[in-house]
Amino acid sequence: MEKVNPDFLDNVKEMGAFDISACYSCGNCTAVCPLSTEEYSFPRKMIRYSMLGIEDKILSGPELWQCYYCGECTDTCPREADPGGLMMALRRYTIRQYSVGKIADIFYGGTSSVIAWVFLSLVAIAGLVYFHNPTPNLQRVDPLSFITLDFLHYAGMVLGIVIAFFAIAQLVIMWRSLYKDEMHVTIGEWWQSFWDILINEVFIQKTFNECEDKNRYWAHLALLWGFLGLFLATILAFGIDFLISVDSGLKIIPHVLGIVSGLVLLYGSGYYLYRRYFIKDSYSKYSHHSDWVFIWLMFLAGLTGFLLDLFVWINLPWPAYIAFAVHLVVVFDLLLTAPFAKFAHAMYRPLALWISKTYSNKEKVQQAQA
Amino acid sequence: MEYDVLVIGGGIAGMESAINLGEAGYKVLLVEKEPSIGGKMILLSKVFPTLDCASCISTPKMAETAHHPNITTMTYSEVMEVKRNGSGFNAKILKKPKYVNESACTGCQDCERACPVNVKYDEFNFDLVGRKAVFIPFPQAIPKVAVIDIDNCILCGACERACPASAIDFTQVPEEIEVNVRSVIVATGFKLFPAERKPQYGFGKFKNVINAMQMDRLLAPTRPFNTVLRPSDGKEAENIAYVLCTGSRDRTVGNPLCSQICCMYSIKQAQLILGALPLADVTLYYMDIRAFGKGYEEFYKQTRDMGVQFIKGRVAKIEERENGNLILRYEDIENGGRVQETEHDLVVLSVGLLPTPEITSIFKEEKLELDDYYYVKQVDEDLSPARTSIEGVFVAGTAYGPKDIPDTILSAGAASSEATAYMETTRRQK
Repeated sequence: MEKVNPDFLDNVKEMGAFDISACYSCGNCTAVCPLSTEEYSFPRKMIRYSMLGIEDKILSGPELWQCYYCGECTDTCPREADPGGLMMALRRYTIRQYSVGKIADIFYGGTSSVIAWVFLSLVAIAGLVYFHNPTPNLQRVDPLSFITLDFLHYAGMVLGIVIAFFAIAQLVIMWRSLYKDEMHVTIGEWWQSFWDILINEVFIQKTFNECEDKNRYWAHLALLWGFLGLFLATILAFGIDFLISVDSGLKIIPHVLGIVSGLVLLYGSGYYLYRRYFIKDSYSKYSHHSDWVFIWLMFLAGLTGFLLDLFVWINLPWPAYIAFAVHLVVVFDLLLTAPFAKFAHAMYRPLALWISKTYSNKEKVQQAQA
Repeated sequence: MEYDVLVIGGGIAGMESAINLGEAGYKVLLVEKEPSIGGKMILLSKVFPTLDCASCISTPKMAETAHHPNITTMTYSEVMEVKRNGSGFNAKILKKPKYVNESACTGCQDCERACPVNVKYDEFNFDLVGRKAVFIPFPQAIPKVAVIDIDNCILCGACERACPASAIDFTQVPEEIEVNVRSVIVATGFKLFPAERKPQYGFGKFKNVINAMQMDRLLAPTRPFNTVLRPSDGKEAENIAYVLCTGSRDRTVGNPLCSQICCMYSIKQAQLILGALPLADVTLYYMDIRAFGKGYEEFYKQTRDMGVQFIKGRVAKIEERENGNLILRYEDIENGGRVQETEHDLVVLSVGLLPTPEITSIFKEEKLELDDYYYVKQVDEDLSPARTSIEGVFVAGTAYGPKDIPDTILSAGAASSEATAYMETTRRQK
C-alpha cells in the first residue's frame, strides 16, 4: 500500500513544473530520454506518481538524480508539459524533504531565501570586519596579513563541523529512504559499485555525455573540476603555510592550480549563466531562484579566487585583499548552505546512484544465478 | 450566370450537400479544384466499422452529383472571390485548362499509353507509383476525362496523335467565370498532416515509413501493386507497425486536436491487412483508443481478438537498419513502463487531419472567421452547426473540424437544410 499525499502536486508546482497537469501519459518523454533505463524509467512514471501524490515512490528511487535535464523530453512533449521541468522541481522538493529541521525550506522560499542570503553574507562580512587586520602587508601581498590564519582556521573548523553534521544527517535520511533490507548486499559489493560511481558518475560524469548537447557536459565538468581544483589549491596553500613556511617556494603549486581552476570554474559557471540569461533552451528557459543563487555564487567564487591568485602573482596588495575578502564571503555562503540549497545535489546524487547501482548489480547477479 | 447555391469542394460533404439541395429543386454549382470529384473518400479502401467498400458507396454519389439535372459540376476549377450582392453573393471562378476537350474525351486512356513522360508522383496514389504527364486521375474519376499536367508536359504531341476523339486541345486558356448565387456552402475538407514535420519518424527519409493514406491505397480494390509491398525492396511486409497520433494531439506541431478518425482507420487497416497478408503481424502503438461511434468499440475489440497487437505508448523515435527494417523506440506503459526497441519491416504513420484555412482569403469585404484551431468557425455550434460568421455562407464536413464519414454526411445534411432555410427566408423577405 502506498500513502497518498493529495497536496503533493501543488507543492511540487511551487518549485517549478507549472504545466505538468497537461500530461496525458503517452510515454514519449521516457522513450526519448537518453538516460532513462529499463530498470529506472522516467520521467513519465515520476509525472504519474506526482499526479497521484505517491510521494514515497519518488523519494525512494534514484530517478530524480539520474536526470540531467538535457531537455529532449521537454522539446518533444506533445502536450508541452515540460517533463524535464518536473524532474528539476521534484529535486528541489526532495532537497527540502531530506533537510534536517526543514532548514532547506528557507532557501527555497521566496522572501525567506532573500533574507537568509543577505543575513548570511552580512554575518560573514561582520566577521571579516571584526577580525581583519587593518594594517596588512602593503609591500608584498600576503593575504594572511590581512586576515589571520588563526581566524580562518577556527572559522573553517566551525563551518566544517556544521556542514558535516547536516550533510551526514541528511545523507542518512536519504539512505534510509532508499535502502532495501531484503537485498542482502555484501560490503564487497558496496565497495565495488562505490568506485564505479565515484569515477564514472562523479569524476567523469559519463552519463551526462549521453545527452545530445555536449557543451553542457563540458561546462558541468568544468564546474565540478574548477571547484575541486580551487578547493585543493586552498588546502595546499594553507597546508604549505602551516607545515612548511609562508615563504616557501612550493607555493607556486597552489597559485598555478588556483588560477587554472578559477578559469575553469569561470568557464563552467559563466556558460550556465550565459545559457540561462540569453539562450532560452528548454532546460534554461525557467530558472528557480535557487538555481540563480547557486550559479552566481559559483561564478563569483571562481572569479574572486582567480583574481586573488592573479593579484598575489603580480603583487597588487589592496585589490588582492579585497578579492580575498569577497572570496571568503562567497565561499562562506556557498559552503554553509551546501546541504540545503542547490549545491546539495552534489552529495545526494552520488549516494542515490551508488545505492541504485549496487542494487541493480546485485539483481543481475541474482538473475544470473537463477 | 445564376445559381441558387455555390458549393465549394466536391468531396463527400460537398456532393451530399449538392444532392440534397438539387433534390429540393435548387440550382447548385459545385466547384472542385481537382480534376475529379470524390474527394478523399473515393481513394479509400473500405470504411469502418462496417468494412463497406468506400468506392461502392461514393461512386453512386459521384454519379448522382455529376448527372443531376439541378447540379452543375466544375472540376479543376477554383473559387477566386466571393462578394456580397444583396442577400446573395457574386463569385468569380477560375476554370483551369485541362488541355482536353471535356465533352469530346471518352476516357479511353490511349493518350496515357502514348505519352512518353513518366512523372514520378501520382497524387491520387499518394506518390506510391508514378503516372504520365497526361492522365486520368483514377479509375473511378468523374468526369472520366484526361488532364494534361502542363508543368511536366514536353509538348511532343504524342497524345494528340493518339487520341481517337481529337479531344486534346493545347489552345485552352484559363477561364474566369462570374456567377450570382443566393447562398454558399464551404466544404473544403482537410489536409493530411505532412509527416515530414515529425522528423523523429523519418517519413520521407526512411523508405519503409509510409503514411496511412498510402496504406489505404495499398489495400484499396484499385491498389497499385495488388498486394501490400514495402517501398524499399518490394518485399511483402511481415511485421507492420502503426504509429497513432502522428501530427494529432501534439502541440509541438501546433495541432492539439484529436483527429477523431486515426484510431478507427488504423484498426480498419489492421483488419484488412490480416486479410491481405494472413501471415503478417500487425502492431498498433497508441496513446488511448478512441472508439466512440456506434459499433466502433466492438470493431476495436474484434480486431484485438483477431490477433492485432495493441501497445500503449507513444513512439518517440524511429531508426532505420541497413536492411530497411525500422526500430521503434517507445515506453511500454502497460508492462512496467520499460523503454523498448522493437523492429518492424514496415511502419505506417497514422497521420492526422489539418484544417484548410486558405479558404478564408476568397471572401472579400466580409470575414470568414476561423476558430482557435484554424478550422472554419461555427458561430452557433450547438443550435445551428453549419452557420459561419458570414450570413448566407454555411460550412459542411471536415472544413469545420475533424470528423469521420458518417458525421461528415450528417453535417452536409445540416448545411444543406440551413442553406435552404436561409434562401427561403430571404426570398420571402423580398
